[in-house]
Amino acid sequence: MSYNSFIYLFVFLGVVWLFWALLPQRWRPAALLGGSLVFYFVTAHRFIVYVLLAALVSWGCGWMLTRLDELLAETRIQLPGPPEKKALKQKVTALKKATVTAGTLLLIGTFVAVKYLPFLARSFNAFMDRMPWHLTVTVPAFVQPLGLSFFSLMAVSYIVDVYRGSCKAAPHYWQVLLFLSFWPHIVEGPFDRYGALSPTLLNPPKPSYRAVTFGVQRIVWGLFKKVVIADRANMYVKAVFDDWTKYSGAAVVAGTLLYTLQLYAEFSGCMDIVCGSAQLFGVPLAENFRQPFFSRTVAEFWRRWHITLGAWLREYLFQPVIVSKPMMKFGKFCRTRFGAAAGRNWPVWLGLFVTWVAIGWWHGAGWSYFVYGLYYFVLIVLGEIFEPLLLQRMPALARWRETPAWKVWQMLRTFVLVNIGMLIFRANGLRAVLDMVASLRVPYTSSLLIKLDARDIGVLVVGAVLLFVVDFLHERGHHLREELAAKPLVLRWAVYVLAVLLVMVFGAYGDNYDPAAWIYAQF
Amino acid sequence: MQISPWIKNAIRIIAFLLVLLLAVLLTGHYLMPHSNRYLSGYTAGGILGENFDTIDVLVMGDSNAAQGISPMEWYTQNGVTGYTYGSGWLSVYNIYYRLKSIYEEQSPKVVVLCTDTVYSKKGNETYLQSAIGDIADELLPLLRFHDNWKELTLSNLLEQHDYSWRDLNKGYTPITDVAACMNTTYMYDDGSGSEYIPMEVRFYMDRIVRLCEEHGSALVLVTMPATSWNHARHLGILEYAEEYDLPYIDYNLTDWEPGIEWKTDTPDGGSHLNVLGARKVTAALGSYLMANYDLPDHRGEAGYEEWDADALTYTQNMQELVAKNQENADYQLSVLGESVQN
Amino acid sequence: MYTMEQILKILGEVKPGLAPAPDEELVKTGQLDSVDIMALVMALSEEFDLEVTPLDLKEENFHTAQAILDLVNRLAEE
Repeated sequence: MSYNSFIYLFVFLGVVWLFWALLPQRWRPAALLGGSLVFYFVTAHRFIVYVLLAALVSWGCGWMLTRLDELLAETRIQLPGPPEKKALKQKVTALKKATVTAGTLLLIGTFVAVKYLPFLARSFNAFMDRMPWHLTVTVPAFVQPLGLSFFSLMAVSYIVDVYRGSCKAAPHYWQVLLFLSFWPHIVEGPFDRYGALSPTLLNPPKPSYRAVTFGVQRIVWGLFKKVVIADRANMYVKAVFDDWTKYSGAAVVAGTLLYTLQLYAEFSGCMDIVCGSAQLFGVPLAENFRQPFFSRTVAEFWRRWHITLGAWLREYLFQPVIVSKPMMKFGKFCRTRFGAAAGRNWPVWLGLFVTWVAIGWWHGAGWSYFVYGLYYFVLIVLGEIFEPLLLQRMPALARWRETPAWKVWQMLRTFVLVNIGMLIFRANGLRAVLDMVASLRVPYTSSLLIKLDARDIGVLVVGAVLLFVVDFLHERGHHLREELAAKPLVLRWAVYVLAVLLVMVFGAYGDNYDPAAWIYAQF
Repeated sequence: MQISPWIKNAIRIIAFLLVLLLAVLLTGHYLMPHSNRYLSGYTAGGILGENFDTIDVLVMGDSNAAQGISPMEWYTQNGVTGYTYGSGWLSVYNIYYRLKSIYEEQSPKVVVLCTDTVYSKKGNETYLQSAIGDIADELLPLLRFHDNWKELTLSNLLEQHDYSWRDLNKGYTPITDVAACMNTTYMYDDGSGSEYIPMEVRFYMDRIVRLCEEHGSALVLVTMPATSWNHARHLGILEYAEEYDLPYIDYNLTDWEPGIEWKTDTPDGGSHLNVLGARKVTAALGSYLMANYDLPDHRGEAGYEEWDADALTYTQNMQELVAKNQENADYQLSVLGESVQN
Repeated sequence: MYTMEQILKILGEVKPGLAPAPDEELVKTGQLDSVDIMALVMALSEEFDLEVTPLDLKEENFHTAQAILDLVNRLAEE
């Protein structure tokens, strides 16, 4: 069941909402759980076992961690002296560590086995091929269940959060299951945190007219982005990137720009649909986008683009890696050998490297995703190295940096760098990346109207401008839905009717178009 | 009187949906093509240009019908009026609604339903999805014609729609290309039994059967020659026909063999028929219809002057088209002969 | 007990040009991003011989120079 399908929007959401609204308050989570399980089962059939097991593992670990804490508290007061108390605490701490490690390994292990094993084996065999001795391994290829990349990591965050004490463990299995399988975030995220979501998920607010209207409005806006912009741009992008040897120069530039537009419209549009869906039920999902194209640096871009993935990796990978014991030792080593700056920077850069490779590979098993992560890692480290040097050489820069012109220049620079990243991301392998970059110097002489006519391009340009204006207003702190709700009825309804008509008339659906499946659902 | 907020909100939602529906219908109207020529694929829309109650045989089908059945042949031979309403990927859902609207202007004595539409479905959709998509298209013209905004200009936006265009070929589209099909074993019984007709499709087939009954039309099921057909599908339709006591002709089987020569009678390797193939199937179907139904000869009758004029032009055109098709067929045969020798 | 001067000195080393008032917001204003914070953690743990755990890496522990000082003092006591 796709988020932009008729069945999801008009049948599924409607039926689940009615159940949810008509049930008594304490049974409302059951409607959400039932809806989630139906959604997943209808879409992915027997793979629902993965979700059930992931929930079981994380719920079990959470229960174990809480039980250990209770045991510690109960037993501790009965013990005679501080040495015994300390020994017990150490034992319990070790057990808790073992629990969290086992749970995480199980979840991440499954995730890696399903998603990366064939790629790892291929790379291993290719490497061994070049060696004098010959060794090949064969591995089973698993089918990747829908949303594995999302619910596995959310399950890990649940266990670690309980371990760190930043959220309370769920007493009942179904609560964790609902959190992991909640249909709005299982296919494309966002990565939610149990602590943030569980209050409304488990004890939902009363059905409200405003929540429903705001939710529907956001869904329509998301559909506009997906159906009018992304699916239309898809035809151009697909032509240029699938048949890259046929295009050069301006066609490659246009294809790349349109891919950036497509991916942004599609992913943020999907987030609008899923956040709007959850809002119908009073559940506020985490936001994944904050006007990313107003970023002044690529690091800032990644704090505004796919926010919850960055946050997950920061909290559960980057930070733990850096404060780990081996890394601290590495820091000391760098400090004694290369000085104080190296001591504090190099471990951080190593941590950044690990994180960026993880970001790249999270998107898929392949060397071009590795290079995609590496690309951003190099950009960010170069920035870290050259910024202080540049500031030393040109003290005036500190003043310029605050001028609007400089900010615009930074945004444009970031936009170009991000587009290069998008080229690496979408191109059909590393060979194609090099070919396409090299072809930029070759002028493209045929018509730039590839697969789309001038009117389609017109719709894309207007759509992009609309996207930009809405982002600009959000950036300036406007709350568009609230502001519109305060306007007179005629104006309000005119806007809503117009929005629906725009999606229906200018949507790239029907016989003349070739819409794409949701991109992030494949990662 | 105090109205509860729930009722107030419900009224507001319903009022908004009504306004929205009105806007959708209105926009749909302006997006309808300006001529019936462009209402549907091929020249199916031309039926709207025919005078009321003049069509006696109505063929409903997809591209196989549009390229395979030429009703003007029947008029030139027997004076029987027919029209082929065929369009690419037309489904039984489309056909039900189109037939319903055709009945507003025509009262055919015989309706021929081409069965290729029963199992055809665009690759990546489920049966339920294609059913919902097609039915929504039929109920809301805006969905079906949404892409027509590309044809709109400021000047033609408010122009009156002119739905009087008539098709000389009566819905038939002649193709003279030849691309041989070497697979002649596609109808062999592989023992797999009959192919199941999906529930949604069956439901709409039943509605078509009832619709024809209500309007007093005889319904005939016909399968056009095409190598995408197979024995299991034949059995599936046969079972359906027996259940409803409908005549069923499968032109892929030797029993009904219209004499299709797959090396020369197809323009695309067996998916459709060209002029040579279409003439054979049209003749076969024509003689079946003349033998089994009481169809009047309208030649020379008052009110059919246009048909008589069209028939003359059609006959002339057809001679050229047949000659051209024959030329292509001879070339194809010579190429095949060479490759056999080598 | 450590002093504000020590904290400010390290902040200046980690991020040249950064000399905030003790209560000036550093994270929300973008003066310290997550990479800077980790470099700061490395510098602090080295300078004051602290053991920082992932649990301490919350935004509220780094959002002002005063918060950083409080964190350092708390960790030094443990």
